[in-house]
Amino acid sequence: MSCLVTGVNATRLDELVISPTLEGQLRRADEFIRLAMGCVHEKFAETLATGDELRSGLIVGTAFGPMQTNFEVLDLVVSGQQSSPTLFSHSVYNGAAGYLARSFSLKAMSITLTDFGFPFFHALQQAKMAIDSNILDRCLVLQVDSYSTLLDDIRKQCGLEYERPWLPGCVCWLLESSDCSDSGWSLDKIEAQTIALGGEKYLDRRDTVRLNGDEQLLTDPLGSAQLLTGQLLVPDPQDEIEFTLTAPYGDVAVTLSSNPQLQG
Amino acid sequence: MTHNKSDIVITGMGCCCSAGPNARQSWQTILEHRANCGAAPVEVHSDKLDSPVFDANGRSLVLPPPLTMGRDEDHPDLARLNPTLLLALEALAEGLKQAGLVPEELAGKRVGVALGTTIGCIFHDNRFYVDWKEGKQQDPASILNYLSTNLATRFQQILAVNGPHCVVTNACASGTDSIGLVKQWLEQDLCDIGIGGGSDELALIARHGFAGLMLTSKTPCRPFDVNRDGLNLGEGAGILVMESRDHADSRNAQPLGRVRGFGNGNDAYHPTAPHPEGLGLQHALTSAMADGEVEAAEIGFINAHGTGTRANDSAEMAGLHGTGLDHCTVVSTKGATGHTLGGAGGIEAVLTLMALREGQTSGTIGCREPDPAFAFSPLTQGESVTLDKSMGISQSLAFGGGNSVLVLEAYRS
Repeated sequence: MSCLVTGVNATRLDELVISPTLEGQLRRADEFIRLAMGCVHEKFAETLATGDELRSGLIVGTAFGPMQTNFEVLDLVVSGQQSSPTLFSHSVYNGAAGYLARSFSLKAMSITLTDFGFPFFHALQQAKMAIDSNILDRCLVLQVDSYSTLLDDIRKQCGLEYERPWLPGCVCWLLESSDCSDSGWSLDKIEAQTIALGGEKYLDRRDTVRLNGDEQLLTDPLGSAQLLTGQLLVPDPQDEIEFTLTAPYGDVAVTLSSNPQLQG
Repeated sequence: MTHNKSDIVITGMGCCCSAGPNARQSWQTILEHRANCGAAPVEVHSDKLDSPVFDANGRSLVLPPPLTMGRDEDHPDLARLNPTLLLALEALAEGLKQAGLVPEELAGKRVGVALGTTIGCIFHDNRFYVDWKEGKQQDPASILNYLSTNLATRFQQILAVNGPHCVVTNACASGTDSIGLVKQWLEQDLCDIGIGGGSDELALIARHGFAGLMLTSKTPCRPFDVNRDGLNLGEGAGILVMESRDHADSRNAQPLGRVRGFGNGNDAYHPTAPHPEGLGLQHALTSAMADGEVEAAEIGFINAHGTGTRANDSAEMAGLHGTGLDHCTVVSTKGATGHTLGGAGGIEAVLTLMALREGQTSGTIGCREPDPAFAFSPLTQGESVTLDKSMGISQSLAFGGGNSVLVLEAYRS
């Protein structure tokens, strides 16, 4: 048995489309939840409607969680107004995971992980382990980040090499056991290690990514996961993808070998 | 190489909460039916909030002596420690000591760290936020400190260790999930030693949030009582130090018990309310027992989530009944600790192991008249029982529909 990546999707806030069927469910949801739900629904709604719901789980990684929603709750606190139950429940970091579990009937493991370095890759590592050790048949893996105005202001204030605000977005992969699916990329290796550093290093984002020999510098927390996701969607992919990421705050290494049947 | 599922042993545990500054004293408080529940400290006081809290005084803690931090002139943020981290370090120091592990000797070793938190992952410096809103010039140190205080990476930095790490932010089930993940890492031989648990400090934002949801009680909480009317927030941390049996044997460590099984399940039902029949909990319980190759009849004790809210306690008892665990002694220790959110799973795992090792428990503080709607009755305040069986369960329910269960087995001296 091996762990397959059977589908991927990535979306940014400026291109997020919420389908009319989903809009009703999300009318009170914040940006963080809308990004997660929109990204998953767009690509996986049909797939997730089948299969054993008690063997289907999800792992959400995030660097900053629903930070802006958290500040909206704080606004009520500091102004002495009564807290909004909906706002508060959405400010909890696993709010998106709860929505996803409910909407797509994912009744096994649901975990939200927080890491300022590489949240997607830590989530991916955990999900692969859950598939490899037969805890799950399939697992959604996400990174969602929606940032905040305060965070953007601090980035400017710290005198960092500021180019533009980080753009909220979501990356989502579906991992399945090869016992349940016969098409997809084999996730052969995933290693991720974040180290503790001073806070500025996480704001002055510097991810040096090497993808099948080509090197580039990425400067936002979702960039590396988006880049790798894009590589899985190119029409004529190479047989193997070697991805490494080095940064002051740690390293990531991913190896995938291809099966061209990946649903795009 | 992988390790046998039943061979993940616990060699140390630590706990710091309002019931006591360590596991032994916390346990003693429970045996004596005491609850250190009172007015909120000034830092989290609000005239609009009248629910008492369980304060562990995390704000006055300092780095416990066995732990030291390397000086890093380039990163002054690393010199600052917030209450959530300090509570966790307090529990860690106790756990390492009991495990016979000297912090300096761990450097460079494969030590996995998974810690749960809810407050510890959010930026909640109200003063800084207000100043920023008002456009005042300010020192960014507060937010830089927040960014350098991911609990798991800080633990690894302080101990100078390597290995898998994560901060689980699964609301109130975070601590239980963290211990479960460490168990899985050890089984997969991703680390030699694992540190799992959770920590949270009292925070105004959480007090407001739970009050807004009408989930807090104006009096000390009464889990499982017919007249229960809500929870009280608390603060604290609980940590288990875990190893494969081979690793523990290689250093002649004396295991306290085992993490036999771990399971979780999602209700897929409601953002903040549990499924009334505890369906997700039932799945988590079944999964955890299957993981540990344990039958329900072998379980004798359950340390429930037992927050004292109407919905939680009913769902939880329904879930236990639906899984065939009516024969078990059920208690909630939140009457002595309050609801410590991300810290709860860690603290309750420690207290579960204490009860199983001692072979006794006293009843749920605050529960005087069990809700007659339950299929069976939890142990009430003032009652005590002997626990014949060495296996028990520590379970957590969370916002987002999460349910997490640990099956723990004690070695009795």
